[in-house]
Amino acid sequence: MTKLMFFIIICISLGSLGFAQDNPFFSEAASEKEERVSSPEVPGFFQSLLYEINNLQRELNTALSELSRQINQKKDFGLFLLLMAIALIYGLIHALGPGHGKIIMISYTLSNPMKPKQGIWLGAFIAVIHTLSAIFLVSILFFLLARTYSDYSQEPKRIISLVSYGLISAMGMFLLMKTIFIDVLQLKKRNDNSNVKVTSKQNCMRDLMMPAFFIGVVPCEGAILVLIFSISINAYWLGIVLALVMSLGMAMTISIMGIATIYSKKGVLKLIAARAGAVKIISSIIQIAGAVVILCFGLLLFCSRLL
Amino acid sequence: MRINIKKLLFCYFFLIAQTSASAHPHVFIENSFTFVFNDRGLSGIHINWILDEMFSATIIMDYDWNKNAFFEDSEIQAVKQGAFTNLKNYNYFLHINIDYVNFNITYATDFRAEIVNNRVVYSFFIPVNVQAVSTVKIISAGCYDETYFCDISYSKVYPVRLKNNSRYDCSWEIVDDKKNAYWGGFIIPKIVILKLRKKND
Repeated sequence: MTKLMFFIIICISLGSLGFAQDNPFFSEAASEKEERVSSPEVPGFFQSLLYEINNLQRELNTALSELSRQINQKKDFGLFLLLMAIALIYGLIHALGPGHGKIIMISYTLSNPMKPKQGIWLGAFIAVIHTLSAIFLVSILFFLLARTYSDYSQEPKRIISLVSYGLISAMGMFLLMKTIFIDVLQLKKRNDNSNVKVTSKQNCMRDLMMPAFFIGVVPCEGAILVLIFSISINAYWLGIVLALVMSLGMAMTISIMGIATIYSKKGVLKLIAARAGAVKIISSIIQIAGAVVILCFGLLLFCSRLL
Repeated sequence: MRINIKKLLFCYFFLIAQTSASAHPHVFIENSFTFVFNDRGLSGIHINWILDEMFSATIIMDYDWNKNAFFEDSEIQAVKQGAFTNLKNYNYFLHINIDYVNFNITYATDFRAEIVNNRVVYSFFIPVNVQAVSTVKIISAGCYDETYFCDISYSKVYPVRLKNNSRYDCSWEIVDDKKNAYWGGFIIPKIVILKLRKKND
């Protein structure tokens, strides 16, 4: 059990490191990266799986660039469809890895009463904003400011990340306060009045846009590279289409995680459903824990960027 | 009702593992090592990296100023300054051991950058002096990015080459370095094990 707990902690830490990774070619290594942390023993199945996924991602990356060149030279609709299919799969796999705000998204899903449909929308919004942010950034950077990718990898990336992490921390704090002062205190009051059902307040779509923006505003590095590549072959329109299709793939992965979290939460509450008061208490604990994770990750990431 | 904590933790672990433990490199590099020898033994390792086409595009856009698909000397210097020197902070992604003792990489020499088939190729030399003796010396060299921004694989054509090695008994193999698994233990680096011994006269 201790081993499992340790494993979870390591995984969480890795997720936080991967939220917005630095390009080693341009960004200085943080001192902690030089220290090797002993890793827990991971089942060989996961290692082999990851190895295969890596190989697949490498091949898809090569196929994307080669097909893009071909399409740019001879406009072939069949090739174009193939390219879009590859981009979709690439996005799907790409979002499986660290980053893309999945930990924050999962924590947000835990800390808010949500329907599976809203989980899908939240995931989709994050992926699309993540990609739109990349399109916006590359367009401004290259066409308006005539700056380069290495220029972006330094200060602008740090500033965007700082803003995003600051907003995420604020969102975590807001959710924590909201849960404690509104949900929990109200719950206590309702318990005192006895037998009054707590109705979960459903977030409307508009409410999902704000967290999606906070989480997704850091541009997707993968999309940036696709866009820059498309500029280099004089086919920026193709790059935008590719990035958007990739975002669909990413949306699928992120949404699946959102739904899985919602159902996991439901499952946990179902497990303890036999004890009337426990459901409300555990539900509040999950909500608070989700908000605390968002707050802590936000602050951790903010501080790491500040240093 | 008894709550199965183990089951709950597994559910949570599964979700978290999905978020962290999978493929996310942004840059793909094909690496090959050339072990270079002199009259004393090993003099160093020549490293060759073929960067993926997408990342290559960013380097080409930034540094091929005259857009002739060729890096002139001044452009190579710029590539070195702008998109190579910083890798020193990451030990150039290299992990070298001599007889199981970590070798500290202090600098790289002979940096070159060229454009081949729309891909940027980096090559550089890391001096590693190992005197060959009558007993076997074991040199291990791995090339991997522990931050996982880059995925570095070995060239399928020539992963390892030996240069000027006629005076020595040398053999090499690529093995999994399980004890140095990184990224939470999910990625096992592949390293080259070179066995070096002076030939008997």
